[in-house]
Amino acid sequence: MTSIMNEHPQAARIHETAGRGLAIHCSGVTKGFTAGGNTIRALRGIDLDVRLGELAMLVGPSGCGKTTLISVVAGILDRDEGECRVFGQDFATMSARQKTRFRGQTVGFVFQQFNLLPALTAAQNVAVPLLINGVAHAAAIKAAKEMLDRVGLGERTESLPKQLSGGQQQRVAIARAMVHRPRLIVCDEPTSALDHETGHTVMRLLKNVALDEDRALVIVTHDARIFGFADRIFKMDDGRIVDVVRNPSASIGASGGDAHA
Amino acid sequence: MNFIALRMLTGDRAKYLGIVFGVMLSALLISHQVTIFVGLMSRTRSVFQTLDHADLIVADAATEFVEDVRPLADTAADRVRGVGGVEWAVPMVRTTIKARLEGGKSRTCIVVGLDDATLIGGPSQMVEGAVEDLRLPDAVIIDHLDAQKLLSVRGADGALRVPGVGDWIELNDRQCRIVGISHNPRPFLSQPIIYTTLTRAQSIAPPERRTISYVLARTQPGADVALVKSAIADATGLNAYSRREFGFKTIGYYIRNTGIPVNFGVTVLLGCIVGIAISGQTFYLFILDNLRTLAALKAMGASTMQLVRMVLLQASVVGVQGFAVGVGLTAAFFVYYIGTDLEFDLHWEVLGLTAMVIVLVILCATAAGVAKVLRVQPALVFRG
Ligand SMILES: Nc1ncnc2c1ncn2[C@@H]1O[C@H](COP(=O)(O)OP(=O)(O)OP(=O)(O)O)[C@@H](O)[C@H]1O
Ligand SMILES: [Mg+2]
Repeated sequence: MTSIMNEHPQAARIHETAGRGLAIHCSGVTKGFTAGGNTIRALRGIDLDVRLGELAMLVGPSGCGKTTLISVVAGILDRDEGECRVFGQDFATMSARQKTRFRGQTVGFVFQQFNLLPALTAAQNVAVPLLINGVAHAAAIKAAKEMLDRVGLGERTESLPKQLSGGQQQRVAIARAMVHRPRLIVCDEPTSALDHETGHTVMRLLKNVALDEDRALVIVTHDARIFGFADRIFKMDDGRIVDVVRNPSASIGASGGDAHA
Repeated sequence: MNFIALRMLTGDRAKYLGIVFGVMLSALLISHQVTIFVGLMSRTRSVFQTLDHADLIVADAATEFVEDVRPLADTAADRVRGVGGVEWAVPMVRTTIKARLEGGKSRTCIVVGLDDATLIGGPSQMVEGAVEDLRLPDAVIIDHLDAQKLLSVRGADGALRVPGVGDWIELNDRQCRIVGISHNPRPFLSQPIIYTTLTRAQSIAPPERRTISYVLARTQPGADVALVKSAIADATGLNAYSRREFGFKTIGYYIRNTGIPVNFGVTVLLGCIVGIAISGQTFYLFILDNLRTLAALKAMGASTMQLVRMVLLQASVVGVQGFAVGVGLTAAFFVYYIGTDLEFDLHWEVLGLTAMVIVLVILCATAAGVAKVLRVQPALVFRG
C-alpha cells in the first residue's frame, strides 16, 4: 500500500474491506452551485465506478458536469450528497489538511491550459509535486529529469514553458502529474489544445507510463480522436451518467474516430 | 517551495520592480524626512555640544528653550558658586547683535560672550586660530560656514570675499577683529554664531541686553547631581538643568510649539500611503495574475500555510530590497551634502524606525493578496 495508507490505518481498513478492485466508487453524488441566487445542479446523482488499472473517459456536452465530477473525485471540490470513495477513502471524513495531503500524494493533475509555472524550467515544473511533498530540491530535480526523459523531453529539461510547443508543454504537464507516482491521475481536456498526432503521443504516454494495475486514470474530453484509448467511456448529460461504452477501441478502433459515427 | 516563490516573484519582472519601487519610495521618504527631522531637532540643542566642561546649565526658571534667553542678575554666577557641591560656576552671555554687511545690509548674529577669565563654553573645534586669541583686543571668532553669510570684506580687486582671520567686521557699530575660525555643530537657527568674551559682548550689545543669560556650572566629583540641582534652585530661585535635560526641554518646546513635527509627519504619512498604494496595488495584481498558479499548487497538494509562506517570503524579499535601496538613497543624499547646512547624521534608530514602518507598509500592502490566497479555491484550476 502507499504511504498514505500507512498513515491512516483506519482508512486502510476501509480500503481492505471496501476495495474490491475499485479505484473510485461514487453513488448518488450531487453537487450544486449557487450563483446570483440561482442554484445550478451540476451533478444530479452520479453513480460511477472506476476500476484499478482502468482508463476511464468522461464525455458529454458542455456544462453537463464533467469538470465538476473530476473535481469531486480528485478532492478539490466537496460533494453535497451521496457517497464517494477514492482507493477506499472518503474525503468527507478527512480534515482539510488530510485532504490536501491526500491530493499531494495520491492524485496527479493534468489541466487543459497546462498551468505550468512560466518562470520555472521544465525540470523545475515537473519537480513541483515532489517539492510540495517535502522532497529535497536536488532529489526532486533529478527525479523530474528522469520523468521528462520518459516523456521524450530529456533534452529540454532547462527550457522555459514559453520556449516549448503546446504539445511539449502538455508532455511536461503529464510528467509533472506522474513524477510522484500518484495512484490516480485526473485530466481535463488534455488534448484539446493539441493536434491529432500530438494528442495521440500524449495519450500513449498517459496510458503506458501512468497506468498499471494499482492505478487509475480519469480523463475528461471532447476529443473523439482519443476515445480509442479508453477502457470505458462514461457519457454524461445534465449532471448524470447516461451511458457507458465498454472497450471502445474494439468498436471504434484504436486509431480513433467519431464515437457517434 | 521557497525556490518556487522566488522564481514566481522575479519571473514577472515589471511587477517585481514595481513592488520594490513602491517600498523603496516609502523607505526613502521616511528615512530621509525622519533623518532631517531628528537632525533639526537635535540642532536645537547643538548649543550644548560645546559646553562639555559644564555638567549643569543654570537659567531663569521661566526659560522654555535654549534660545529663550531671560536675563539673570550679574551676581547669579557667584550665588551658584556658593552652593554646596558646585565645583565652579561661570557666567555666559547669549545675545543677538546686528552685523553690518557690505552695501548697507545687515544680519542678525548670535553673539556668545564667554567668561573672561576661563573662556569656558567656547567653540570645541577651531579651523584657524585659538579660543585663547579672544583675549586680544576687539577679538571675535566666527564659524567657517557662517563666514559666507557675513560678506563684508572687499579684496584688493574690490570684489567681495569671504572674511577670514585678520579681517574686521562691524557689530552694532563696533569694529571687531576676526582672530579665529571655528567649526560648530550646525545650529537650528541660521543666524551666524560669533564668539567673544563676556565683557566685550556686554559692551557691544545694546544696553538692555547686557545682562548675563546662563550660568555654566560643574558639580564636584562624587556629588549627587540631583541634590546639587535642587540646592541651586533653593539658593538662587533659578533652575539648574543637565545639558541633556535642557536639550530635551528645548526639543520638547519646538515639537509642541512649531509646525515642524506636523510637516514632517505629513510627509512620512504620505510616504507610507504612497508605498502602500504602489506596492499594495502591484502586489495584489501580482497575486491575481498568479491565482491560477496558486490554485494549481493547492490542487497538487500545497497547503494554505505553504502558499501563505510563499507569499510572505515574496513580500519579505521585496521589503528587504526596497528598504535597502531606499535607505541607501537616503544615505547617498546625506553623504552628498556633507559639509553643508544639509549635513545630517543618519542614526541607526531612524533606520530601525524606517524598517518597522516598512514592515507595516508591507503587511498592509500584502494583506489583500494574502486574503486572496487564503480563499483561493483549488477547483479554479479547471475553470477556463
Ligand atoms: N464555481 C461554479 N459556480 C457556479 N456554477 C458553476 C461552477 N462550476 C460549474 N458551474 C456550473 O455547473 C455546471 C457544470 O459545469 P462543468 O464545468 O462541470 O461542466 P463541463 O461538463 O466541464 O463543461 P465543459 O465541457 O464546457 O467544460 C455548469 O452549468 C456550470 O455553469
Ligand atoms: Mg469542463
